[in-house]
Amino acid sequence: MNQPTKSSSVTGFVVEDRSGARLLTITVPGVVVRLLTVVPVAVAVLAVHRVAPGTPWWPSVLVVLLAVVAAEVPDSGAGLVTLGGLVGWWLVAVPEPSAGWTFVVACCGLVFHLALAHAAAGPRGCAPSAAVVGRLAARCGGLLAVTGAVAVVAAAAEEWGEPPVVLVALTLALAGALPWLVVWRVR
Amino acid sequence: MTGWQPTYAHLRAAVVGLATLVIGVAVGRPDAVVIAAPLVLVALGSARRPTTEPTATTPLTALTVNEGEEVTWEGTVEGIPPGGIATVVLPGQKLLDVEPSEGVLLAEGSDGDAPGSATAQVALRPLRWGRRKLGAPAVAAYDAWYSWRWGPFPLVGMRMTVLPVTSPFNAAAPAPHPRGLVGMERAARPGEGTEFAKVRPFGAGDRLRRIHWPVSARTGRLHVTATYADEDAHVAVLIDAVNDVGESTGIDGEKSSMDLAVRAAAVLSEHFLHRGDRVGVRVFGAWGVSLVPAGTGLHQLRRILDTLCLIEPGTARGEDALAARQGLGAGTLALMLSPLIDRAATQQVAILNRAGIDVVVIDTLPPGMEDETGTTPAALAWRIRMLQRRVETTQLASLGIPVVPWAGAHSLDQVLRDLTRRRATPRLVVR
Repeated sequence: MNQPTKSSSVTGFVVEDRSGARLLTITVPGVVVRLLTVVPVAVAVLAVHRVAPGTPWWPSVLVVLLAVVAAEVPDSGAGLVTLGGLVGWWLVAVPEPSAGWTFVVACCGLVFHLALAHAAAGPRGCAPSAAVVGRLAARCGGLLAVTGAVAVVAAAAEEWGEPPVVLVALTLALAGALPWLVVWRVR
Repeated sequence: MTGWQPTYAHLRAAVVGLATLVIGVAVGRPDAVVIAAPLVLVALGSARRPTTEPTATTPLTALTVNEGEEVTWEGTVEGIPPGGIATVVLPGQKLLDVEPSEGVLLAEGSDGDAPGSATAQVALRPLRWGRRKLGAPAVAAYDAWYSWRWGPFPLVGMRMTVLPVTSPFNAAAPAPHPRGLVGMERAARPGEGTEFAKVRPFGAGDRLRRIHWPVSARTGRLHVTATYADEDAHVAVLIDAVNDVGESTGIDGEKSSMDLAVRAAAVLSEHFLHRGDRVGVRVFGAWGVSLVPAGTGLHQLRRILDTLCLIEPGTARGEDALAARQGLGAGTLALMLSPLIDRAATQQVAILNRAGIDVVVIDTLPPGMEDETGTTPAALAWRIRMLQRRVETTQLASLGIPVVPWAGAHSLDQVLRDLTRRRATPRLVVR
């Protein structure tokens, strides 16, 4: 009969049977990555209910459960379903969003995406070096700065009372330019 | 053909980002554009498949270490795209500490746009003696946004030979029957040595520096100081590997009977070899390893330790009890390491003793194994065997064979002194 024995590993708590097969592994990086996967989604659905108080709760609970599933199987399509569900739920439930809350949801979506991508890069609890964490945080910060600028532009366009024609035009131009940009980068 | 494949993260950023962007533009929702912006930027930043071709190497393919010793395994991944990341995972095993246990993520260390490299260092600490092959390490590489993956590819697994630890052993007592040529043991016969025997009249062939001038002056006749010869002893370490009793959790935890036997054999061999004695090892009950002929020196110690690593207990049962006597003559000091579970071990001890070989039985039954209080059939059978074992131990003691538990340094001092004293007594032995 297999009886769990505790390994003397330093970076985590490993429970394994007599044949050496691991039954449970809990490491600090693993816990942090799971939190960074689930907590942003929870914050985003809370933002939905803060902006639109009368919305039902069951879609929010479903999205959080999807996030938990995605955290357990990061290298799968669960993350796509979760992120798509979160964005769709925001678009359906919030007819008149504010720029601040939109930015919060955008940040949560980005953190969820990057944390899940990082979790899929190795086994659960894989220990990243300081350089990996630093570079990821720097890239994330850069993207959030750009996102903040886009949010400011969108808010300013709404305050001017004009329809977001400029924004639509810029966006369509960007979407149309994407294939060209990709080809240009490849060259 | 490139080994880079898109990941789910790439699919997620591209699908969700672009879909949200298009929906936002189509229905006139600027908030959707804001939410889609970072995802679209990620998809755009990693749209290009990396063109580098990573390679992974490891310099270590075989290693010999001691129990509890920490070594570092290194694996290098080259050709990582700029800003990319490498993942190195070394699977753990029972009685092997791996740090970090779940692998490591490394950033490439190049400047600029040139492909970089990363070196993973994983600490390994084997907790038990033996020879093992470690699981194959796996290596993967990612681009800066985890959108493209290369691998995972396996590296060559490392063969690790873990030698039993040789803790300090300091027995001051001499071996009972030194009968060799040179060594540190005091022989029974007079000769060139360091230990004083007596003062006797000068004879032909005596060295002048041996003349004892005070006695010569007092008696008016030359006298010399006679000494005992220094010789080496033949020590045979016999290991009972028929059973491995108890659970082994490594060098820092519980020890099984084979743990105690192998570590004690290593310690005893090192001790007697450092004293200049000839030491040989014989193993019973293990397939593929049976005998290390007696020898001296550090090479012999390494030979013995390498042999001890190969012991797999219980793989060869039913050996002839008389095999224990092969190659051992009267005057040999035989150290039998056994938990005394199998009756064959007791028979071998009796045969050796009858042949005039000084036998010391070192009991390697782990502490607490005799105390079985269960009422299951297995527990009752074990208690009966423990009672029989006690009777057999008493019978051995009545034959003059000491049975001592292994307790590390100085655990054999008193026994070896008693054997040395007993050698003056006439004995009847079988030749």
